Amino acid sequence: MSSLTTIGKDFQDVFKELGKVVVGQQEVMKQVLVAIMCNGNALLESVPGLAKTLTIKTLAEIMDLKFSRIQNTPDLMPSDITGTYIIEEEDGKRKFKFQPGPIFANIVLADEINRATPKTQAALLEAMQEKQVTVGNKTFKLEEPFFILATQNPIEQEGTYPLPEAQQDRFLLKIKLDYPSFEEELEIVDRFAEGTGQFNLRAIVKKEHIARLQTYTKQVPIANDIKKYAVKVITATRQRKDLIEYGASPRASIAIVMAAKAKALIEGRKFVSKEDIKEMAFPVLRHRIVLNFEAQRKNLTEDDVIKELL
Amino acid sequence: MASFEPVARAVREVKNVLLEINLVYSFLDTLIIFLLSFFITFLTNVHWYFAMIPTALYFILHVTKRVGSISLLRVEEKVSSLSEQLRTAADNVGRHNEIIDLLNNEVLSKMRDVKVSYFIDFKDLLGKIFAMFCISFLIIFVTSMNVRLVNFGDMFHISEKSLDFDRGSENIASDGRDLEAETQGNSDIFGDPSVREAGKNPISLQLNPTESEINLNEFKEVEPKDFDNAPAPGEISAQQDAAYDREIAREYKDVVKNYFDKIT
Repeated sequence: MSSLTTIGKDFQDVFKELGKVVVGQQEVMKQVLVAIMCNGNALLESVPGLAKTLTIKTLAEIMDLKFSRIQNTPDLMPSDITGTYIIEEEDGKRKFKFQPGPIFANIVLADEINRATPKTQAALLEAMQEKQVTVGNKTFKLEEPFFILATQNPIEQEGTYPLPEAQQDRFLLKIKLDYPSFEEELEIVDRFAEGTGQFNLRAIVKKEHIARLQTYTKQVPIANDIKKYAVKVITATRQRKDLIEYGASPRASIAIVMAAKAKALIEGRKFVSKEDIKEMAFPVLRHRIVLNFEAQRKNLTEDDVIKELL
Repeated sequence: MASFEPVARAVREVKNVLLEINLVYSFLDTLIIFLLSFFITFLTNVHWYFAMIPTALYFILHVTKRVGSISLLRVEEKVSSLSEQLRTAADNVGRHNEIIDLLNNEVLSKMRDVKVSYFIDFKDLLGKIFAMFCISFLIIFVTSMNVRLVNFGDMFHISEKSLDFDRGSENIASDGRDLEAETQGNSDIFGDPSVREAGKNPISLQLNPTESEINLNEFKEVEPKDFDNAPAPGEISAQQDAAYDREIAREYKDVVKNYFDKIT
């Protein structure tokens, strides 16, 4: 990341590098970057096999970040994530030594978070919110920058523990991954079924630059009428009782403005546009609203309702 | 100098230009309304003062609306490269950080391309001038032909004649005498007071030979006409008739006598 004036070009380079590995999914990559720049966490929802792990792993490599992956299962214990004390023999003496778990990384991919028990989910959420973990009576600060990108499978809900709304609210964005187009899928086959699968990636963004990028994100100015529009969209979720049972909290107002700022910066702009708000409303709101029976009866999805609010 | 100051000044300048343009448009629109109202008052035989009511109302409403609608959005519409940037810079005047400084510089460089002519709709302006031209000609036409469609003026006593605010002074002579009192309200004898008063002043008349139907070049002495020999039709005959004197009060006779004495 060279300077503020070339920030847009630098992010284009990030996408170019990502594009060497991941085919398509430009919007998803942009939204993941938005979450990182807002110092937030993201919930990725997709069916299996859409390169969620590959995308996050590649992004970690390009951003020079330590990556770890947690495969959530019903028997996963909080200590499996946070780490635990082990007995270690040193100089003939036995003593407890803390063995950090996979949460001690910069980017943590919590795969299929809804398969973990609520207790384990809570441990993850503490790390997400507080950027720290507590093991025994000791609290360990997690290394900055720290992001959790949790995934959810929209199918096979049997034996899962869906995240309660209050916990979903802690995720800045809920990103939906869709199937690639025919041409993209053809490219995926060419790249992975015939190629070597080895890619030379270079780190475009250094770890130490991320904190600066997060500061820049907060500094991006926004016009008053655009800010009002953003808040109006969020408050509308609480007023549209004909479609929405529970609307979004004020945390969503902060999230939408922050996400729009980050998106503007990624695109090389020094101001937020109305389009940024409109675009970011989907990932910001889709996990924060609960549709009522009438909307479900009409077979409307969260995205349909958000589109109506905009 | 803080980086936002030039932006603040530029924004203020743009707003002033927009205000001036809006006022010019308001003035033109109001003028059209006045001409139309005047035209209507003439056709309906209503005093032209009544044309001022819709004109004043329109001017107040129009100016309020137009001045209220002054927004930087209009500048952004005309200069698409400034879209949303100008508003953002204007709303963040007074704030200072690296990103805002960069934005301010960007906005300032783009604002150099903004021209006043962007905000003037020449087609609209020409349309308004043409409309004024047409209405003015219509007014000249109807006034010269004295066209009146409806006589609302007399129906509701709001005509120029009914509302002649200077009428009271007509009965006061130039030397301060109350002519109304002198004639005891009987204007039949003296005719219209204003005409009578004018009759007291020397009138200088000059006939323009080019604009008169009388050809002064053909002026000649009046020839004596012998009516005795005029052949009269046989069916016309004269008979002696009787004339009756009306009893006229002595003082009226004196007034008449004095009047004619004064004239002579």
